[in-house]
Amino acid sequence: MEGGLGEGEIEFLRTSYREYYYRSSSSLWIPPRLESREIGFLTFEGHFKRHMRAGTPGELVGAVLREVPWGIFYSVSYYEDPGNPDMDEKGWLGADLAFDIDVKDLHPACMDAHDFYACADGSVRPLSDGALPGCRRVDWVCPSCVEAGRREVLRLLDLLQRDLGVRPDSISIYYSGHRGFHVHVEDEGLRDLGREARAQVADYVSLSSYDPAFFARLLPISEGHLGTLVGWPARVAEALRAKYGVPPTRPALEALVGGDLRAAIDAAVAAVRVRIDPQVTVDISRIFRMPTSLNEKTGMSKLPCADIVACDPLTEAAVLSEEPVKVEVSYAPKLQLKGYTYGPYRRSTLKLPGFVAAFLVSKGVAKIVKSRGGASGP
Amino acid sequence: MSFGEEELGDLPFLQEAGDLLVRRGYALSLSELAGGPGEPYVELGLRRARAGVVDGRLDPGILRGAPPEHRILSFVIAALIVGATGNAYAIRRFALAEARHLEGLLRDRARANRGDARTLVSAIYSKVLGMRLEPVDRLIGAELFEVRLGLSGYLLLSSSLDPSKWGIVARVVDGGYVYMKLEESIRLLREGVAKHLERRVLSARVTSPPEWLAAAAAELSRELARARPAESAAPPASSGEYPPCVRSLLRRLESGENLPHFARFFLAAFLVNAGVPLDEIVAAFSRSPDFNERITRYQVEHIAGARGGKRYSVPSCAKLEALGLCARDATCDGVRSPLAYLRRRRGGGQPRTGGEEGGGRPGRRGDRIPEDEL
Repeated sequence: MEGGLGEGEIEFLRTSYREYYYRSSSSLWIPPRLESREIGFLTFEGHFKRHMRAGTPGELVGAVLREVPWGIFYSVSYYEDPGNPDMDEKGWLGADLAFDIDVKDLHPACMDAHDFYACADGSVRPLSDGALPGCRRVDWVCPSCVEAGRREVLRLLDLLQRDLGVRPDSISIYYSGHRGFHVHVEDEGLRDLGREARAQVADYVSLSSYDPAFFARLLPISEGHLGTLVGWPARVAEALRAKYGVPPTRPALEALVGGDLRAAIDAAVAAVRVRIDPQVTVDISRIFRMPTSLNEKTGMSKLPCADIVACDPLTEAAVLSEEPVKVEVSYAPKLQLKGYTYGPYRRSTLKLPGFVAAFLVSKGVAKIVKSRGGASGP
Repeated sequence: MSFGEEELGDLPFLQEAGDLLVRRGYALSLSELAGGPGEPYVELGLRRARAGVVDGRLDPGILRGAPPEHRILSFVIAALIVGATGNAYAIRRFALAEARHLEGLLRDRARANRGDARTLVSAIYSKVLGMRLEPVDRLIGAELFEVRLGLSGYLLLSSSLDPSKWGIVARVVDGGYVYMKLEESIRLLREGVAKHLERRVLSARVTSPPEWLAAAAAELSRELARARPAESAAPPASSGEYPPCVRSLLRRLESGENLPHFARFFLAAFLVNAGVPLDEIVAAFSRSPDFNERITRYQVEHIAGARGGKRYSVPSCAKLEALGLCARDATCDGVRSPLAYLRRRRGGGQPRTGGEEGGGRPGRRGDRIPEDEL
């Protein structure tokens, strides 16, 4: 939730979520090795219920239908006793390797155009004007955000498969339901890695503590050896070739940049590194949003993307009802969902499809207009 | 590969070494094996145990000239004595000293004959660690790599080493393999062998050892206690002033665990900046199985800026989180640095001396603490 929601808005969301979970109860995604996972629910009252366990898919689906949570989460780790509230007593057995790509960290140009500050006095400030007390940032989503995230996922996949040797069939990709992608690796060889080892993997992917001297040392003297480069050294060399337009041998680059080879490598690394949230990869006690569950920030689902190139999150993840709902929108930039464009809106009262209304309500920029009978909706 | 008898004398923990003893007519039951003091291999075992546990290193001179079967038996005896102390610190220290000894032998071998050494090192990886270290001879860019190891095995062995040198970000990784020079694979092997030996000694502990062995273990324990700085001088892990991450690391040190490189750096930098006297910090690290007082003191002084350099700052909570060292609990309540926690606990006052991350970044290349130290 991004703004304080009133009773009417919570009731509308709860009803919409209930309808979705009933409709898709037989196709909800169930975590592999469910009985060893910790389950967590975020309630519509804003409480986080952690340390739950479900022995069977039926138990999990039953709990979802009974409680209709605002958010559903499961642990990336497997435990002997996943329901134990003491993390030290859970008995850690291993964990999937998880990566989180947040479009915010990629700073696409569209972000400055559509993100904004909503202030308590009802005014709206563009992002470039900076924050003020009493104003909250509202993150928006657009096709350009999704494309930026998709590009980063493709770079991560290349690295996981070519460098780390992860088999494609052990990688699962998900659109988060908001403004990011999650990549999960279920590989037996990587399951037992502890925090330090995962920190190494995160560091490798994001090149957050690389040493330019390492890349400089590997640059070949002769052009004929350029083809022997692999992994990051090969990507960094290609970025240097693109920037300087010469075969990236050490003598050629040194002749061009003089003694500043390290700075040239720093620039090349900045162009090729994969931007992930390292803490997500390292933290094995974290619980993750469950695929096919709804994201409380948008009302859209966390969407499995079997084919990351063809996946169309802003259409496929808008899973809530299309039934029109009357809303009063304070301010909303243009929103593109299911192939249609909605808005921009400013102080508008109108009927919108349920999934659009849920997005705007979840963002705290729209209120449900109640009918004279007191019920929500048209 | 099959090992020669001389080789097996240097690899006493292999199954093949046990087989050699059987072929030579040595019984492997405890009562028969340990003829008691007076047997040359028992004397050698006593010296070997003492060297590993008290000195923290095994002087190759101790074993020089001894026949292979005596070298093997001396290892068995030493392991039994160390195991009988029941002291986790002693066991780790012994295992580490033995692993270092093997590393030295393999490095000598690599200097004499690289191909031969590579075959031997690969065989040890396979037999002791169950990992495949493959010979490759692959030119990648300007460097020639001699061996490669599967990623998960590499991560397992390198996770407690200095990430600036051993992190995969500082390595060529391709197709799920990490490429190395032979010497690097030998250094990495030390980590795996030490852990393997520690497990072996723990699992081979005898419940009712012969009298002479129990006496030797007791004497070893006494000597070890005399050789270590007083533990009471070390900062207590229970100190409520310290954040949970620091308390957790102090507890791990107390239990005789070898902390990863960055954890040691962080702990030393925190204690220095918290104003803990250097002697007390050194005493804390004395519980580390690879403790060397001279080197530890030098490094702590270096971190404290007492050796002409700048004082190192304390890493932030975000950095600790990224490295998997954060142990945040409710008492942290929004603090962003371990030093801020300390300041709050001391009633809003300043730490006795010190600074936070900002100036002396611990990750700076060429300014780091060698991995074996502290």
